[in-house]
Amino acid sequence: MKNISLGQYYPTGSVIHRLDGRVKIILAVIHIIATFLCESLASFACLFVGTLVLVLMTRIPLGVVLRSVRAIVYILIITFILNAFFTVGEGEPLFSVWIFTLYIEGIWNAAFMALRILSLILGTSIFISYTTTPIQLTDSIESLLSPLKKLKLPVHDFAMMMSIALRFIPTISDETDRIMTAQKARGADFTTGSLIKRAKALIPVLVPLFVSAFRRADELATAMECRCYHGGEGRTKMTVPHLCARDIAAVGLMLAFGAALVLLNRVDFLYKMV
Amino acid sequence: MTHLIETRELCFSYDDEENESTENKLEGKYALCGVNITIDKGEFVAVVGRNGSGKSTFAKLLNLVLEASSGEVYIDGKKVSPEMTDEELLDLRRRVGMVFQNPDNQLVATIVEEDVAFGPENLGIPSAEIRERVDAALELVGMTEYARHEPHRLSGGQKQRVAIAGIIAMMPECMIFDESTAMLDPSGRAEVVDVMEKLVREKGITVINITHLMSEAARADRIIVINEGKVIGEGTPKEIFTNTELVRRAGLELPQCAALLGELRARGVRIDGAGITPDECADIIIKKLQNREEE
Repeated sequence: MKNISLGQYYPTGSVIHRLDGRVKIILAVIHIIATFLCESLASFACLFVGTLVLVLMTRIPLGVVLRSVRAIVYILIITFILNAFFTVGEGEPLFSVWIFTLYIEGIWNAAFMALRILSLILGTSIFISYTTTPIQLTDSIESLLSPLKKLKLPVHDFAMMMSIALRFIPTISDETDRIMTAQKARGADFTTGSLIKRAKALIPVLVPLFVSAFRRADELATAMECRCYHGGEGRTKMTVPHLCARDIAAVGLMLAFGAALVLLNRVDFLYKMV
Repeated sequence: MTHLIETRELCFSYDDEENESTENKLEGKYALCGVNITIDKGEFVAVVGRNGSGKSTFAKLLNLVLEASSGEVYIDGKKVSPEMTDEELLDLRRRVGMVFQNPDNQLVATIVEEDVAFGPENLGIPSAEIRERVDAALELVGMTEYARHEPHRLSGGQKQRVAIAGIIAMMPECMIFDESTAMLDPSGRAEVVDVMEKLVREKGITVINITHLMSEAARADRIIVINEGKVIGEGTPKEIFTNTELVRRAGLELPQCAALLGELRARGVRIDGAGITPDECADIIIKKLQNREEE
């Protein structure tokens, strides 16, 4: 458990890794919007190629990237099947068995939907999970949401909670291991029996885990107070992120990419989504 | 000259309401009662006592983590009280830093240097200066090469050193170690005590080490012995270690060699002086044996 990593961050030092965290969040959002604006075959093809180029730019091994896709394979298959059979086309159906009728439009729609989901997952992986450290992510979220402070929303507190949660995931997972071992030594059985029995066996793990988590919280709060923590007011930062030319260029390119996708919607080649 | 830390008739009880009546006062429900202590700038003081003796309570009263039930605490001549303004309280906590027992429960950030920066960031120090302070603090505790590491991958001693760096970066005048070595293995313990010594000797920071290990207390300039909420003895390590009765009364254990000398003394062997390290004790015993041969 010592080797548990926070998130899926995969350091390669590529251009995308070096982008400002806030910019990466914005890029991910633009990418998501662009994905939903695609309608024609031409723009989908362009989206696919563009996303692939981005994946290559991160210099993360393809196998690692595909791992995040593997998790959604079933969702992809189900979406594909549902879309394929529930789209009613204009022409003659390809075939019709019992209540299942397949039109050519169905296949196109299904393929496009699957491609969309794939591109959503890849987009967030490229810009956020694989290339942004958790701490950079929470800092960026705080920074991007800071206008909301004017509305008296506790943005700083929220970001602090996120980063403390991230900090304690490995600590608490270590502790879970320890408690489970201790309960096993006392004869607890976590692996056999019905589902309900196994769930019940976890109670003696959860109770001490919660007790200790609260104790930790108490001690941490005292330690933070002793280190002069008093909320976000008057707080400075050691590393102040500032945008450089490549950050602005990246947003520009991404916007251009999105615009290109919208323009390509006009190219009426083979099929256009309805 | 004002002392850095001064307490006058300091009392503290964990259950306030019940203690209103004087009866309870006599029954010793106080975790701490009538403590008068002065500590000067640049001193290395160890506060020793068994579990529940009130030594940790004493530490927490100094920077207002706990509020005294009665009595006064002065830091640099300034009274510490709950009526302080927020700025005064922040200033107090900056001046009197505290390192706790469990290294895991005092690290806030997911990266070592970010954690060290936490204190100065709270104080609103300009970014460039925070950077300098963090680098200097990490260097002082010998953790520079781990600056970009994740705290949970470090050993206990290393984590504790990061916690110390986090306090040093706030530039305190006094650092309190509240049983900071209790959860560490011997090598981690040695690392932390070495850092304490460095702080006192090189940086002139006052260090108060709260511990139940006499071998650790031996490295301080002065030892304060607390038992059942009261100060029962005070003196240099040599003075305390030769006072076997006092150490026993406090429920503590002498380092083995000091205990050996005490035992010899109790059996009627006249031994002058006191030894703390094994070498010193060996020297004393050899000298004694040589004297006997001459006689």
